[in-house]
Amino acid sequence: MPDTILIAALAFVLLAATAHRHRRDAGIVAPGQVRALRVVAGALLLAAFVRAAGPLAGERIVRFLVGGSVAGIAVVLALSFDAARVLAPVRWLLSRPRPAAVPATVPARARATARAQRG
Amino acid sequence: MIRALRQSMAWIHGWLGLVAGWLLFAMFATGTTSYFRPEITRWMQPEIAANRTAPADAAATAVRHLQRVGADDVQWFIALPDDRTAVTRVFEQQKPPADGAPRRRRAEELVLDPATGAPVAARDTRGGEHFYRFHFQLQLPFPWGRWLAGVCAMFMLGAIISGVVTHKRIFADFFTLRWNKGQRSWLDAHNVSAVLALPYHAVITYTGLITLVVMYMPWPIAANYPQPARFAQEAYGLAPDVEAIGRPAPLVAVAPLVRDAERRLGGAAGRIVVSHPNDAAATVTVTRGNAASVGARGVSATYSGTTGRLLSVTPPPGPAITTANVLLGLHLAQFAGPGLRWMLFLLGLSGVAMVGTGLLLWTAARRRPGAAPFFGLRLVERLNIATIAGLPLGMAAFLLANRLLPVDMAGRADAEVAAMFWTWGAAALLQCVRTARLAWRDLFALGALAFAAIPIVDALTTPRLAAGDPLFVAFDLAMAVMALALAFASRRAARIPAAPVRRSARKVAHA
Repeated sequence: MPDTILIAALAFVLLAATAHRHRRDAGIVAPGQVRALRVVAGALLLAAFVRAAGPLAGERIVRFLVGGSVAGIAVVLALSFDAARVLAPVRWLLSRPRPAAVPATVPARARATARAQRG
Repeated sequence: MIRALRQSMAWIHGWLGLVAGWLLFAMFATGTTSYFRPEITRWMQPEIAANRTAPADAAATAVRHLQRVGADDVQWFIALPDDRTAVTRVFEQQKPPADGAPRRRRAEELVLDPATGAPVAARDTRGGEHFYRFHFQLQLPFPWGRWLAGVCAMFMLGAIISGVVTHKRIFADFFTLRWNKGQRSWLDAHNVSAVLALPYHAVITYTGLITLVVMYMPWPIAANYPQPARFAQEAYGLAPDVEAIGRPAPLVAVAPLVRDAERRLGGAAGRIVVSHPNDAAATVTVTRGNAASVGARGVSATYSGTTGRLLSVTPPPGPAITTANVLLGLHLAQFAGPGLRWMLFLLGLSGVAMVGTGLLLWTAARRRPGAAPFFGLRLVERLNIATIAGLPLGMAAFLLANRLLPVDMAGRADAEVAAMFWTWGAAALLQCVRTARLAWRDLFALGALAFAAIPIVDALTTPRLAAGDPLFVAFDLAMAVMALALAFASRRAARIPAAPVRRSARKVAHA
């Protein structure tokens, strides 16, 4: 149960970061970031559902909904006190410089250009 | 048109919530408490130690006792102990006298020690059963309390649906909770507690209605079955009642039957019914406990009481009965382990908060600065104080009475219940002599003091807390947390709200 709540809470923090109210606190600058966060949040909710298994048939659904609701309330309470601090990890993640795109194979045309430049 | 629909829904939402709000608050509060019904009962009977006896052994000791006190009874009902329930509860259905004379005595529920089968000497109390019964019977005679609870549940369901329809920015407001902004804050708190726990609120309300649906709508069964019992037999696959033959025959040992049934049914036994004990037609029906599945009605196996031969096992129920069982199980949550039960308890508290903030929002939305409150506003505010701040005080009085009343006092269980309602009633009346702000503050403070007193009185009157019994430690800790929450509420209620600053005034201040 605790892991379900924790994973769902993480998902809700990411979803909260994409909400208009909290985008600035989360340091979101591009629509692509919103989409990415929502996809990750969806995956986390799926993981929470998977982790919510119980010994009884159907208990997974109950545990997921209960854990998700408790996590949601906890996240909103935390956001209401200090949204910037709650969303700081998201801001840090989004502000990290993205690794430079290193193409696996240099296109043939670029190779030819470079060769010509070298003489 | 959408706008008109939303406005209509808002009107319905407001009035449905207001009319049923006070009763719904009490139902949610006591119903949420009922998640820990057996634990509360154990706390209220500190003389009884935790159960360490297996159901089969408890059944054997109970039958041994019943053979001594009611060998010629018509039926024995035996509720077996488990991890949460410390005692065996038995009920005898006595044989009516042959000459038509009145019965020897009114059969009462007996509470037995699972290990020995001897009657337990413990203080008389309703325990957690009081809160459980109150949340759907409202301390009214049958069937009026149940009907009233059903009407309130219908109002609640209507309020939930209309609340969702009327909420224009349900997703935009999903993560919004602003403090210290008056009416806006109450609205945010109402939305957060309602929307984020919406699956819980919808399920608990709907399943609460379904739990008593046969009482609310008896006509389909009445039209198709001569007796409701026949419907139950057919729907749940119960073994038909058999008549006693009148030829004496010794009852087989029940412990092996219980073990066999547990193996067949895939879970610990919860209940046994012995029909016509010591008669050649005797039967023993063992029903599985509710912890073995989400569905609330356990399957059962029936054995011959003279040979121990298996006579029948309830067949798998059809889709409709399975659905009803699951709905009932979701409401009672007896399948839930400790972690899930605590989470359900927290969600129940969110329901209490939802109803409470809704009631407060009604008054906050109608209060005009500088204007004298109209009669309806004053009435609603006083009822809000009596319910939201008065009920916790009454509940604390119930628990305190359990420790402070003499253990061997006659009518003790009723006196505990009376303590709750007298305290609640007195609080509801006496708050009228204070201004609303002071009434909120004082009642919350009194509630905080009463809840803080519970662990102290418990430690002084029973040795269980000092002995480190986990249940008593957890219970008293929960009471301390409740006291802190009420003290916080009292402190907040005591603050004089800051007068709203007008834009023009702000401009002057910044100039």
